[in-house]
Amino acid sequence: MASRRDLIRASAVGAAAAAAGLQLPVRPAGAAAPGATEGVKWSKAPCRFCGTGCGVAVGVKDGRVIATEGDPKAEVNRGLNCVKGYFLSKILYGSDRLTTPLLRKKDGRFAKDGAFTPVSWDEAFDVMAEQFKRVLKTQGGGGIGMAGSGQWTVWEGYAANKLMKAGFRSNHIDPNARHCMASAVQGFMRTFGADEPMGCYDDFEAADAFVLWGSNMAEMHPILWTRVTDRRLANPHVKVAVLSTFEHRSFDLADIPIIFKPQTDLVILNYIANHIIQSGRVNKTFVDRHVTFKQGNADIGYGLRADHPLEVKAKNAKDAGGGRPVTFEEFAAFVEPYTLDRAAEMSGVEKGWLKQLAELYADPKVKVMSLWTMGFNQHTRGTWANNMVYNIHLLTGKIATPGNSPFSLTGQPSACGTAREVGTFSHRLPADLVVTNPEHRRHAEEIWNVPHGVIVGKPGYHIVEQNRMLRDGKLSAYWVMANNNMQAAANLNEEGYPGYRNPTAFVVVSDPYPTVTAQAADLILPTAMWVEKEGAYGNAERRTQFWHQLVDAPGEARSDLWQLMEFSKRFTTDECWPAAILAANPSYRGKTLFQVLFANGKVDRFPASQVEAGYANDEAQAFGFYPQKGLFEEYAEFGRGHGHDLAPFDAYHQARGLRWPVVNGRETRWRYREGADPYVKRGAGFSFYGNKDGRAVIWALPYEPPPESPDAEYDLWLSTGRVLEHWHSGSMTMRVPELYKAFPSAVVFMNPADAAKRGLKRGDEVRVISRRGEMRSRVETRGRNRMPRGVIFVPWFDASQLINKTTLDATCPISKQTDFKKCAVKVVMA
Amino acid sequence: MNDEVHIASLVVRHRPDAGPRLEAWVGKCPALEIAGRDGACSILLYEGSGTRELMELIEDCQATPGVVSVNLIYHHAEPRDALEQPASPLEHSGASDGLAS
Amino acid sequence: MQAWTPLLLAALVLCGCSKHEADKSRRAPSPAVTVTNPGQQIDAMRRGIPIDQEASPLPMARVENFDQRRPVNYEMQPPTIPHAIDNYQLTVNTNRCMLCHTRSNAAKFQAPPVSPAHYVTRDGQVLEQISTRRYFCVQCHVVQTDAPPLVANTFKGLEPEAEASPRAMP
Repeated sequence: MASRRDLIRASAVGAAAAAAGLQLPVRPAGAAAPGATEGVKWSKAPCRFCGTGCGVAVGVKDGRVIATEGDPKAEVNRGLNCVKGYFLSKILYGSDRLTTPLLRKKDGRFAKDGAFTPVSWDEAFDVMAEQFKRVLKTQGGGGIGMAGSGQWTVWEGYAANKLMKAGFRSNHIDPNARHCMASAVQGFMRTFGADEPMGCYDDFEAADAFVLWGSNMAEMHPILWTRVTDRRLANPHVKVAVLSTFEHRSFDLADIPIIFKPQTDLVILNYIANHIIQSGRVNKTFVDRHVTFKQGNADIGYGLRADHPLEVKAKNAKDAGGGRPVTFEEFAAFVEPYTLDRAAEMSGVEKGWLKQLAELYADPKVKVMSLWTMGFNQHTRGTWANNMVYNIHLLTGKIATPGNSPFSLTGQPSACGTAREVGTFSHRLPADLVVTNPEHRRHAEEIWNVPHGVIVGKPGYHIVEQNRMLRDGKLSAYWVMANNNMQAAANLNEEGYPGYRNPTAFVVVSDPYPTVTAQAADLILPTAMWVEKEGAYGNAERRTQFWHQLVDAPGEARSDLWQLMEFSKRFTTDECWPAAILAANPSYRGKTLFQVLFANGKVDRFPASQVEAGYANDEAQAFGFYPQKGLFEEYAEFGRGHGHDLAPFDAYHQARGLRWPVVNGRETRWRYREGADPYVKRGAGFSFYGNKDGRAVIWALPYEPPPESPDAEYDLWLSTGRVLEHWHSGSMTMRVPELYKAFPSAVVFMNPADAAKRGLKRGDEVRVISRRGEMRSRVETRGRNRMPRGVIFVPWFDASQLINKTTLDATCPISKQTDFKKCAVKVVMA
Repeated sequence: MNDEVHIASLVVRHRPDAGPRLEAWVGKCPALEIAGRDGACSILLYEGSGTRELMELIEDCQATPGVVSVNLIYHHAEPRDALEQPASPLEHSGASDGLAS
Repeated sequence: MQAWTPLLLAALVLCGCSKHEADKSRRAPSPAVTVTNPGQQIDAMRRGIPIDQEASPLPMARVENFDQRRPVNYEMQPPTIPHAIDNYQLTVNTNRCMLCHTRSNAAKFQAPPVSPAHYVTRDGQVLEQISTRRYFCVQCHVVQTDAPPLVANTFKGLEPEAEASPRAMP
């Protein structure tokens, strides 16, 4: 038995190791904790949760994860984790892990209204293939759809993209990341012609001011928030501005606290641009050399169904992304009406705060980092909001230098790595290529080694549209992987649930846990998660991070990668491709999709023996080659030499992640700037090379109202969102007792006066009702959020309180991302 | 009071080639041991009579050729008899309170 | 099937409890929900309620306030907060937590002092004061309510005996 002395000695050494950033364990012999750390193998992995991409050290003993600790060597977090990260090891061990496929059956056969019954993988795939083939025959590849994820590993997303876009010839594949950062993507594409931030997390230690645009980093990106906090508290000159429609934990650090009326962030952004111009602080040299101006189409609708009155009425609903070149003078005239008076009046914010905020940007001496996630992105003018924040950074030239950084944060661990870089969106291909461009399609077909003409040139259904098309019977075979979209998507009552339960649709859900989405499915496939497979994620600062398989998945659970590749064996090209393509390319005849897509001489070129000694790899064992390596190296062909260079596969198993482009073994911290980015030519200073002319675009865009605002009957704004303790839909964190007990149920955060007016007090059961549906919850008038009158906030992690029964599925018409922050509801006593 | 035991840990940053010299110096100090090393960084564990001795050792260590910096990370003092008690699971959790969180 | 049937039963029991609670304290109880086909209601988090139906939410959980330390599963796991922190001020100028948990005050308030790692900066420098990167305590340390978890967790840490004896303060 160890004595207290042993423990204290162990603690002393542990603390020193953590402080020194030494790899664990470095405990002296004889000073080990009881239970002993002998036999514990420590490996690195990125955290499974948000887009921050913290490194964790994973301890494994006897085939089970027994501990996770912040990795002191990980540059992102240097030994720290947030509370979710510290309890990460437990997400694997919820006692209701799915361990066998479950098929809805009645009288021994598949039936849409049957009860879930355990079946073998063979039976599961037999029934699934039969259903997919039925749809292929009657509707073609266009009847098949897939909802993917920013939680897919890089190679899983890549394999899914190939299977859908080249195998089934369907572009109806879209990740749940659509709900998360599609507006950020379109913002980047429209301004810079290339996706993802130019800066990186090193900006946190260099900035003089931080502006949170509708982001609650204190809860949603806690580790990045520690870097903001660290910078602010250790350097008194640093200022933090926090903008939101209600007061939350990030306000604890705010020097400039701003609560604005929903949607008026657009007004504030144009006011700042106007202030910079009016006060003569435009960086003329930068603007003259590196910027062009455009005016975007206005009156672009709200991404609702085409026959919705708001869409019929909108002048530019069909060309939402269009625009025309203008001059600087025209831009200046465009924003001129956005005066301080007007901004204050519309936003409800005191002028003093607005002016201080504008000065952070206008003052040439202040290095400013803008940070945003869902407040901007989940916005019916989300793409505009992204463009408009770039406007103010570009007007002042505050970009791509340390501390001057418009920085779009991401919510999922591989929203960047898989959804964006791999291009699993319905309009995209890897490395910023798009399906609508014939050159891009040809290039992808060449790398994939498939005949020309296989990739369809029309964008597929995005994830919001997919639910509508399921309901309309246009999508009939649907595979949902690594997401919980029944809980996550807006307007569950009118679109999601009727869509999944449409008798013409066959819905397959792959998940580690029985989620709400699984419950709405016809077939559930049990799935390996996180360190139960070899993986790669890409975080918000372009950092690609790998991990090894560290433990086995429970029961019959298999990784998404195995599922995709194994299922592809059940289809031949003759079943999926048109006769004309096969006639022109007879060597592809009769081949299975597996042979064409995965045993293509590239994906299968690395033998299983190359898996690092000491680590398992279930997929390599199943297929007889190293599919992760083959898929990654094939995928990397897209980006190498094109500004998206990735290092060789093996390098990532050594490094704590590398930020692309990785050229000559060196990562890139700041893109577009000479000296920091190898793609910028000497003498250029800056080059926004995503656009052909090397210039970034400043967009003239107006304020436009939201599609639905409170009225006499539905008299409250509803904003939904997340909480610190739960990650997204809670399917993992709700199964960790400590996290569950910290925040067990969703509540309606409400202003006490609003509650009193309705005869409600804290804890009362209420119905939250919109034009689309209702849900039941309880009133919270205290706690971490302080609501202004007229606004309620309901987190969406709680499967027993599906707030998305009430939300509106209006999207930004350019990005197709839903606005989960604004719709009209009423709250009544239950 | 005199029967208090002090346990402390130090992070020493040094030139990679100074490792053996540091090791030799530690070998001469009964209250010190090397608890871990990674290239240019060593962790020293101290168990001894008190603050004065510890401070003297830190000064000596700083004077050792090749040593760049010495940081005291953890310092805990407790009566000797309490230290020899077996550790209950709960006390372990207490000890973990005293660790990084 | 066997993996989730017992959970479902547990979920149904919990569901019953919640309605009972609600009946006692609320004016208008929710209508009863009939689970039509148990083989279809597999998400324990929904407590047996079909997706397209609504039931009374669980009663508001109360924060456990025993001031007794709970064991952790492994080193580096932040201890949960064993007391209520309602109205604790945690701003740039005030940190209510550190009033008791700072090294110099901990003994006086019989509170566990924050660990030494909290005094180390991002760059590995050791400070007199707590490092500003650790300033906001509630990013890692959370309270625990009395809500019984809906799904068990089979995780085992390094110290199985520590898990088996919750809150056994000697």
